[in-house]
Amino acid sequence: MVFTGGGIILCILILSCLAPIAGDPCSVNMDERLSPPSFKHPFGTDQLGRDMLSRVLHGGRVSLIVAITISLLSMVVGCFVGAVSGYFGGVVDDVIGRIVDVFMSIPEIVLNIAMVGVFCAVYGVSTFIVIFAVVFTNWVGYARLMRGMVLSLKEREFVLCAKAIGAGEWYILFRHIIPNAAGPLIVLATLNIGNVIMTIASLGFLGLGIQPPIPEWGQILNSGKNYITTAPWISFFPGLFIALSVLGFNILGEGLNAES
Amino acid sequence: MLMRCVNVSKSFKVGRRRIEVLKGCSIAVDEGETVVLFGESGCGKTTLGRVLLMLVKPDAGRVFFKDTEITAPTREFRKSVQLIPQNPDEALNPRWRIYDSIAEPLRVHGLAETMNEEFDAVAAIAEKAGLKEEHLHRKPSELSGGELQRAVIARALILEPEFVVCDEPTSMLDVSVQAAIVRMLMDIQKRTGVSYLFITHDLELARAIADRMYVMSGGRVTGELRKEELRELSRESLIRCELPRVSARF
Amino acid sequence: MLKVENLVVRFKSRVGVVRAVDGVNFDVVSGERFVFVGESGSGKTVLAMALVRLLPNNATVTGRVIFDGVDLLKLSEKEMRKVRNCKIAYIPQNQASLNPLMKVGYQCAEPLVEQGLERGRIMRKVSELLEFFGIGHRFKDYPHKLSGGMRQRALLVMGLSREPEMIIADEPTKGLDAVKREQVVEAFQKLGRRTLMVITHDLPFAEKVADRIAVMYCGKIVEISPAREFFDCPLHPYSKGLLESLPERGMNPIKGFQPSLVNLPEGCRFRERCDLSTARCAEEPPLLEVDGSLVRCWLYADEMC
Ligand SMILES: Nc1ncnc2c1ncn2[C@@H]1O[C@H](COP(=O)(O)OP(=O)(O)OP(=O)(O)O)[C@@H](O)[C@H]1O
Ligand SMILES: Nc1ncnc2c1ncn2[C@@H]1O[C@H](COP(=O)(O)OP(=O)(O)OP(=O)(O)O)[C@@H](O)[C@H]1O
Ligand code: SF4
Ligand SMILES: [Mg+2]
Ligand SMILES: [Mg+2]
Repeated sequence: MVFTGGGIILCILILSCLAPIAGDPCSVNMDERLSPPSFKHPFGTDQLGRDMLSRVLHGGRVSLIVAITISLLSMVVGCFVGAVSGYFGGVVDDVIGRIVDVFMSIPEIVLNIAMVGVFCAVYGVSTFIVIFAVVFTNWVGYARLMRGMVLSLKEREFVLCAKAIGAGEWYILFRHIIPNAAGPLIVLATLNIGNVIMTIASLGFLGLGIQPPIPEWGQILNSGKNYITTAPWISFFPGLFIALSVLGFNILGEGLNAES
Repeated sequence: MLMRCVNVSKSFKVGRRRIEVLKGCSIAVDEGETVVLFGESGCGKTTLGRVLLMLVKPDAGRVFFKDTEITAPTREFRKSVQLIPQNPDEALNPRWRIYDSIAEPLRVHGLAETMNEEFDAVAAIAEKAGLKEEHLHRKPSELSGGELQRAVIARALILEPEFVVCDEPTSMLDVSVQAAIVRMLMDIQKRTGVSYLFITHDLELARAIADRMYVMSGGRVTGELRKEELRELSRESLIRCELPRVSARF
Repeated sequence: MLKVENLVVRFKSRVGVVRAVDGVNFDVVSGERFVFVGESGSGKTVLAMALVRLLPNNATVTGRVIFDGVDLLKLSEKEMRKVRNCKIAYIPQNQASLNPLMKVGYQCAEPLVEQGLERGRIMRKVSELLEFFGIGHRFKDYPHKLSGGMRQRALLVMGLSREPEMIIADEPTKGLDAVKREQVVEAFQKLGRRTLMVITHDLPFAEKVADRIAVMYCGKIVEISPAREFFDCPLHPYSKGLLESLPERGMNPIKGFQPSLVNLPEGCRFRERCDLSTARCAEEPPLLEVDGSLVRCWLYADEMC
């Protein structure tokens, strides 16, 4: 499973890296608009005659980079908050616990849309705002996992023994506890990247995500929806790549989970 | 008195009940002394050892180190008292190499200036404990029980402490290695004057090393024996903890 | 019942190959109590784990382990699980093998659930055994809330409750006081004539339970003797040294420690520490038979001729 998942992801990554070879994703060519897949344009062209292969691959770069960034940022934030909450307990834990509960009780996509809406209204639309908004809702899962791990790890005897030699609280937290939670964390992160790809694509599809002219899978999918009967390839290929990458990360995550 | 505790008690919550684990224990250990703590399984020996080191906060009672009361342990205190934990297989970070675990006390207290200095210190103490260099590069799960136990002993001794709680430090060693390790502990004691609180179930071992012995039962210290009394005592009466209240000093 | 032929276990490690078990042969007949003693790090635990195939991935095992006519090393993982669950119970040395997230009582019951017993009976059986070892009232505690000795008893319960054909117990008495050690002896006696393989450092305990004693040193068996003979008059110089190290016999350790298992010395592995070694000991001694005992030492070679 690890190999299947990893293989799918690797293929997509390599293809995305090769995107520049496929040409410029933004060069308009009205003569060739809406042409079906052919030797010259393997994935066809869109309503402005832009090469779909190039657009999908460039879109993949954006989607993957953004998704991984979001996942890593949320991991850092979530782990820190969860670890502190679990390790020190008391009031800190209560407050953080309430906040997490609030976040957990609202469906993620609704929260995301609301967040992006709020931030965009205030600061205008930009990729950073999207990243920030998604991180804002996404850290909660990491925090919950980390808190649970820390709660059980801090009872372990090696933590007591580290205390006995005079190690400080923060040292113990960062050197002994967090590294020992790494296994489940990596599993969660892998599964989470898949989710985030979906989230970004959904936001893009709703027009709330990354804005044109930067190509992004969800947004390409959206642009193809008016031509779904006449030129289905515009929607099909980004859709396929979204599905494949989400599937890849999920299979990899499950595989890693089964192994640990 | 180097280390002493007066009337400490401690209870733990277990399910809905609270169990009283220590019910007013007082013990004292002098400089350069080996004091054995003996008692049935589950009577609170480990907990008492942890209270002395302030790893577990007592509900009541006071702990003194060199006649100053310890409320919040300082770095200096942590450096001079050490613990050899009961379960060596859980006492080391499973992701760290043994070398790093043994060197950790030095790092925490900033005692080794260079890598070479650190390596020499670790190698010296590991050799005394009968560990070879090959063992130092492994993770805890790749050592035998007895090797791990010697690793935690090395880790506790590397700082040259003044007081060590040895919680069944030889439970996983064969008698020959046990004898070698106990000899090593005694040598160190002669050289540096360290005191040991030695928790054990092995009466013969206790007889061989103890300067004094406390007997615990059901969370109370029920007796104190001097070396000579310990020699005379019959095995059976000790096993049942039916001790005459010898020399009630406190 | 159990026949082990030329078992070899090696570990790949960063500094070289660790020859933890190096050509071990023995057999345990049905109903026998076979006890292993030996130097710490001599490969006893690795040997036991090799029998039930619980070693980590960096181990390579060769040889044959015949149990009831079946070679355990050739079984599939699924069949092996069944053997571990119903036929051979392994009581590990490591208390870390208790699951920290599961209450002790349920943990002890788990193998029985897997055996497919009915719930009420399982609970009764587990409670009974926990009660026998004096920790019945801690049924619903997590392992870290128990004392060291209590955890050891929980491990024992976990192994004994399965009622297997054979029990392999790795240091079953560590951390237990004299009364509880007696209880372990009693529990083992209650098993009737089930086959028992015990690894221990506790020589008085070994004396009580053993029919035969095997001594391991540096990955090899150096002596197999009937228990009575072993304690009266051990044959191998290492065994003699071991008994001399008992606290009641003066606590005189054998000088030095066991050599490294990565680069083992030529010839007799005990040579550096042996007071009786001769020039001949530069060659590997064979396992010799002396009055019903087996011993791996050149001192006994002449008696044969
Ligand atoms: N953190 C804890 N939470 C709840 N109960 C605890 C905790 N630590 C210890 N106990 C209980 O306190 C009692 C005494 O435990 P302790 O470990 O001090 O015993 P011990 O004398 O060291 O026994 P042993 O010889 O078996 O190691 C036991 O009943 C144990 O279950
Ligand atoms: N996973 C591993 N990788 C490398 N070496 C290992 C591994 N597991 C065990 N060893 C080595 O194999 C040797 C035998 O270990 P084993 O656990 O069998 O000893 P033992 O006889 O049970 O000793 P003890 O009485 O101390 O438990 C030891 O020297 C140990 O360091
Ligand atoms: S063979 Fe030689 S060195 Fe080895 S135990 Fe016998 S006498 Fe000692
Ligand atoms: Mg204890
Ligand atoms: Mg072992």
